[in-house]
Amino acid sequence: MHIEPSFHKRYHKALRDTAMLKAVKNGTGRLRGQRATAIEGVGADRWMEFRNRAEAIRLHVIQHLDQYLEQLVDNVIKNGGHVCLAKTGEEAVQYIAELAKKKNAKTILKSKSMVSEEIHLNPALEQQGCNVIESDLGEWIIQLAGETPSHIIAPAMHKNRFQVADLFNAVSEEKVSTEIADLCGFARKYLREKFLGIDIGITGCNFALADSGAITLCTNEGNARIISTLAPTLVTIMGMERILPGLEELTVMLSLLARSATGQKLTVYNTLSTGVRNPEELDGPQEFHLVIVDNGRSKQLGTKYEKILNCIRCGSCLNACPVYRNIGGHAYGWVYPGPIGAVLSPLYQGMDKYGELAYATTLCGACTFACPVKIPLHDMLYALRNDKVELEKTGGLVEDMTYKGWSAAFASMSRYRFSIGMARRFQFPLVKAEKIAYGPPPISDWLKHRDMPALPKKFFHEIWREMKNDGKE
Amino acid sequence: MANGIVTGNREAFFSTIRQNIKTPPGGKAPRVENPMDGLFTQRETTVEDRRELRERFIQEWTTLGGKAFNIKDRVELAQAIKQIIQERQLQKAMCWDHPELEKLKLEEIFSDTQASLSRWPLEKNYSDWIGKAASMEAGIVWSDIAMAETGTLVLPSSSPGQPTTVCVLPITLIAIFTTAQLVDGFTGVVKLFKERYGTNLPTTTTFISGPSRTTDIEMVLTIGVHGSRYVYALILDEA
Ligand code: SF4
Repeated sequence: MHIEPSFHKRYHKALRDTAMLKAVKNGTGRLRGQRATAIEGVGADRWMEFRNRAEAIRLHVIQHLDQYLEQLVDNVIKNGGHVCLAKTGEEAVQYIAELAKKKNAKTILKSKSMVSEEIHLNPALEQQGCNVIESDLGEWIIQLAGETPSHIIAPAMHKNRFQVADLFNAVSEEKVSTEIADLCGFARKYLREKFLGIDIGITGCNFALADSGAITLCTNEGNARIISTLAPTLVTIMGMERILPGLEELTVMLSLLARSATGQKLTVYNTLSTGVRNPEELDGPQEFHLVIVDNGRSKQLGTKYEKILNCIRCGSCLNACPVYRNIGGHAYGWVYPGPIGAVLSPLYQGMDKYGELAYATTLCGACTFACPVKIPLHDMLYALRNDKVELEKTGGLVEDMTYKGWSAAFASMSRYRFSIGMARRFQFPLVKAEKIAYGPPPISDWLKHRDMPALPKKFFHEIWREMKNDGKE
Repeated sequence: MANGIVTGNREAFFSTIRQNIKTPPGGKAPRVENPMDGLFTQRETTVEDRRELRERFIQEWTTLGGKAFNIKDRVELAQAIKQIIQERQLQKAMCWDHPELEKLKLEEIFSDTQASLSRWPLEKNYSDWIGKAASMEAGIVWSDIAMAETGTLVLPSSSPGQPTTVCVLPITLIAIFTTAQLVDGFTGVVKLFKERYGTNLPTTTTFISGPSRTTDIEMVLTIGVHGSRYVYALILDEA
């Protein structure tokens, strides 16, 4: 899929895609409703307690990340697994590609991993002749479509059943109907065959547990655990922040994750795996590789954005965000959409490429309120705007003078009145239908995307004063 | 088991992290002691309590789309299993090699029906057992712990006779347990896990709450996309 480099072009494209917008509105609406019902079930106070606890757990872990990661690494190798510490995405990809070569792997099945999208793993493996298949239904759909996920937990939210049937029919020998049950039935049959011929399995990691070296995989479909059971070689890719001290902390997170993501009390399958099977066991991997990826994460430690590492990828902030709901995920350009994406993309990929996303927000705070681990997302978006301005000092002379003039005019009452009077007099050639429709640069740029109301003949306070004076007479 | 290998520059990887972590004013956030306190139900239960928990489990399990049977004795157990065989038109089932299942003499019950029951291991070699396991229509497991508040089976594969394959591959999953296995929720699970395993967890532990589900197409709930489509809980009286 070709991705436009400019946010402006991307969201304009999105705004024209009415089928997608309808699907996204429907999807996010449902998820929001389900989450609200789940929280009602817990009770508002207890929910707040859950969030406070989760925030405290995540804060502690991130501020002691080195200790917990060291503990995890030691435990994984003690359990017989291998660990790759990848500072960059390329290092991670290279490690996995070499492993695939060494194993002479043909069929690689994956369960959902946002980090693998982030580091562009699939194309690298495909290039060396591996057949890489996404096994999460939504991920598989977008893989067939050659697209990127549009939602963290519902990657194919933007597609309808007819589009999915077309994609399936392109790989199916028999015709698949557009009934959703049939589509899922086809996916089960088709992918089951692939599972049985698996050479390497690749999964993401919801949470790693430092004290036991166990990896937690959460799926509703059960695809991750089929992979972790049947793959002779299992690779788990984790962002280095996805770690918890132990089982107790995990129970808090699992309870929050499912409710925030889909409104379930728990995800259908939560699997804890310590990696390599015991010699007497017949299923489970013979070889386990944990790939721990930094790729820009450690840079956030100790900064005002550190708390972004607390994220548990529930997708709740996407559903809450009025901007996401109206433009969908692809407009964000990188793998993480919505408020979390608007913060992560510029931080991980650079301000120059994704700085504009700091404006993909109304700063209403709905994301912060929805976040189970209480990440102050809207404060971060605001801070990113400041950083962007600081970094670029974009306006140059014209913008600088405009703001200076503006501030001078507004600092004194008489100057303010004078400026308003002048503006009222000289605005008339620019006004159309009570809006300022034209203007010289830089106003013309601004007007491309926004409406600016024309100055009224009288302001409210002027009418008020007149009315009061009338009353006196 | 031989230790694994670490690839990548461990020193450099961790020194970047250590350099960047700053101690904020007021010090680093302390570890949350007893993180579960007050969030989950925390109690010791009696036999009576567990009968109530059974009702709760059944309520949650059926809401999720599972079926549950309340079983008094062996006669009822046989009836329930036969009903499932009938309902699902089962020909081939496999089950864990578990002492508790052994006591129930499931083979006897099956011998009376159209379906055959194989006990794990089906074969010794991967290439042999994988094909057999894939052809099985139902898997029978013993649920070591069951969480009532969420309708969840907890299945630690703590011995080679209890592999994940049995509950992963077949379209029908039958979990058998007694009321003695029931706990309110996570608190009970963590307590038992600490006692049994400490931090030395079994190779795999699966928490299963209902049938496999997806809403990936148009957000419409569809059951059984990869995992089990039909899930049964057979809950025996602990007396
Ligand atoms: S930022 Fe918060 S709400 Fe958004 S995905 Fe992460 S944890 Fe969920």
